[in-house]
Amino acid sequence: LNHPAVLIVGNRSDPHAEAVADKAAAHLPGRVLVVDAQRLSRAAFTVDPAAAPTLTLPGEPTVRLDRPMRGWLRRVAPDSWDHGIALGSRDAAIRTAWLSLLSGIVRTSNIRWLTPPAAAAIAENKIVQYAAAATLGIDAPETLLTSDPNAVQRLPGDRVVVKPLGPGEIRDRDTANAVFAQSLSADDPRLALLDGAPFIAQQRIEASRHLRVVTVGKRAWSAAIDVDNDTPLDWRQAPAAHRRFQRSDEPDVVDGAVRLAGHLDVGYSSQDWIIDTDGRPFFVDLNPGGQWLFLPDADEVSDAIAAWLSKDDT
Amino acid sequence: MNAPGRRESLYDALTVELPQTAADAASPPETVLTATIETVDNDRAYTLMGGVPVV
Repeated sequence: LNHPAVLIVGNRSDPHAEAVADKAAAHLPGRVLVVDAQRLSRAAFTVDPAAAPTLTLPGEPTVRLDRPMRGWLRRVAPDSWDHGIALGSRDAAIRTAWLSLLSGIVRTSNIRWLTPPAAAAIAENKIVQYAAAATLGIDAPETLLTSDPNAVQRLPGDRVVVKPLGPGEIRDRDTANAVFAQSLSADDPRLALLDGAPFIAQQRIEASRHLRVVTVGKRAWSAAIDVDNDTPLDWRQAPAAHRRFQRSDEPDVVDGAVRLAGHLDVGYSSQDWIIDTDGRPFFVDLNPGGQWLFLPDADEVSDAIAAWLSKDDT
Repeated sequence: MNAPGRRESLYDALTVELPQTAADAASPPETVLTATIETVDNDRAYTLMGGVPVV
């Protein structure tokens, strides 16, 4: 039986998983397993909780997961896997069963994770992130989560930034919708809706540059876009912005980004920072599974993740 | 249309529809619109199916 040395939880249809899998396979030919819930649902499998699982994925030799491996969690399933599936329905139950099988397999295998899945889940919470920044003395916009619109007026300035604490993507059967960070007047009547779902309210920082910082272990890469009149508050709304990122040299930001990632126990992170008009950096957001392929140092990031995964722990 | 008993929230006030290409799974994977929805997408990596952590 084949014994993988690297387990990537993801799907080769995702270019990020593909990039890392190809590079890891260059180090360890034939020993990189890429699997997610969708692929698992097409596999032959036997899981005896008292023994090592065996899997036969379509077109691949049977593998047995009982040796030490290194692992990277990219995505448990493609984004489209549960589109149109009603919560509580039979189809949802079936998908949850596949996810439980995947979860059980990876949790009972001998995997050293780039980012432990539990740490990733915790680190995704924005309240946890801002608390970590405060603990580490890293500047972030003043932030409140409140059901009281009057409390928002305690934040500095006439305008506040609001963004969802929960998912910012909402899919209906036929449309994709998003809730981006938005700037509202501090007395905007829509803030009365803060009691309907928790949103983050923040001091608005006047940005001169937006940074995307990627960390892998203690290494970090920083890229920036300058803010102009056409750059929206949330740069992800501007398609052209994604192509404009250029390498940037921001030692304080890189140092802060690495400390934050270490504090949150995430071996990989993509982070958003702002440089204000006085040149002062502010941490804005950390994503333990965010994308990097649109950045100028994309290849180095993929290399670094693959190199970490390919280390031999035996 | 709100579900019965659900209070209105900022989701109702601030949600915008993305261009169709962003919703099209056949789009080239590195299109900018894929990146546009990437951060929110990442939240789903660990909490599919009604917010239940699965891994």
